[in-house]
Amino acid sequence: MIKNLKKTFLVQRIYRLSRNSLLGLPLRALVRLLRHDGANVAYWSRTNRRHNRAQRAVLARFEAETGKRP
Amino acid sequence: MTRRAPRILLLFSDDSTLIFAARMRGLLRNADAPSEIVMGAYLPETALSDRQLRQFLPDGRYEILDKPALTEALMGGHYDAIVTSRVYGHLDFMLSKALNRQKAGRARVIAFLGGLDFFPHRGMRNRRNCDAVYLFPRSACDRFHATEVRPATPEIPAWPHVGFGHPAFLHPQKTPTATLPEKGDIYFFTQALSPSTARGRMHMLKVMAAIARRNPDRTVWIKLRHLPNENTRHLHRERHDYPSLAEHSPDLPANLKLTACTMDEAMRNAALGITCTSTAAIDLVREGVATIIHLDYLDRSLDPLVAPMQRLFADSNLIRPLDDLLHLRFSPPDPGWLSRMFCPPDLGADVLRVISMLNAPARPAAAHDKKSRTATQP
Repeated sequence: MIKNLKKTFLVQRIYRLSRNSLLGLPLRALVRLLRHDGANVAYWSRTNRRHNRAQRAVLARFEAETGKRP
Repeated sequence: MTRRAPRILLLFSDDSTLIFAARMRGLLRNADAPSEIVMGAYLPETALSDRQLRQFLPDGRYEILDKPALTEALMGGHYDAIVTSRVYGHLDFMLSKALNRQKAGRARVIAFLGGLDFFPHRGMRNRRNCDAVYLFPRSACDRFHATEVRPATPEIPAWPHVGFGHPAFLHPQKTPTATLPEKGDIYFFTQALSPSTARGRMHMLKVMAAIARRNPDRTVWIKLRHLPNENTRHLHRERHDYPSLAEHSPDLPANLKLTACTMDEAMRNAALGITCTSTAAIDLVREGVATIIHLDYLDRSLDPLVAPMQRLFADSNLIRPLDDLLHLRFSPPDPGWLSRMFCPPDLGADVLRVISMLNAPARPAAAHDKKSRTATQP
């Protein structure tokens, strides 16, 4: 499916634009931004942040018991 | 009259299919019945490095097949069967034609699933033109029977034949004890997709570092599926690889190491296997290695594989929260779950039996009809 998508007119135009000396740089930056983990709304959701906080706390507690160095 | 040993072509194109083919070859060789096995790389979809080829096929003995060669392998009468874990587009196209399907001397195509498939509908659909399809868990066989198998007619028996199993899903010969063995290392088996975010992976790296610090007498290995420069054309590409993340973590303990060794090498040395993904979990359970599946990593809500993973392993006893993981608390797998997921170890013999059945000469329909009529007449 991805192989077919890459062959489409629109995607090929976008690829060609990304190689353009003038427009290429901002376009590539935009693509990088969209591919970032944070581009997913769920990344910032309250549930996700709460879950992450809880997991980090468990790890921090364990590390405090052990000590950071072996 | 003695029948000649069946000639079987095992197709592969990337690391997953190559691992399948290597395992299948082992099972066929270990079966009591003799068979001649040829490994075949399908060129149009090849995504393998020198290292991967050398690791799994050190003797370099394999055929290279492009589309015409695959057609010839299927139709030319050189092989009794083609066994594959991926039904390539060209193969499916050939099998979709009745003229090809009914031709005498054609190799019978036996398709397995690529691996554990959380969403198997598409995989089932892709395999419906094959001669035999092997599926798992047992519930998938029932679903395939109901949705894809063409019912028998007076001329043609029901097809495809449905089998249960996969070379990576053989019933374990031993189950792990509830305590950690005194010898052996701890392995974290990584995968390309889960955890999906950079901070999720960094968190797992920190967890492994913490375990390594608590267990200085053991080495904690991060077992890489492949090296960062490999598998660039693989279906599942790794966006945040562990070697790069480890480079950005200066305070890692000395007994935390990365390795790209084979799964078999890792299994031999593993006292405990930790994983976030299904394939490694299955490999560990099959080999009787103590297993912890951890799904509570950071950003788990972004990972679409967590929910199906949780469903599939719900009754397995293997999913553990972070606190249990850090303290290496685990349980042996549930026996009922094991029997639904893993097939008997004589899978190779079963495949040879099916090949022999599929290649048996068909009885003429007229004779068959006459015989049936005679049998039903008073």
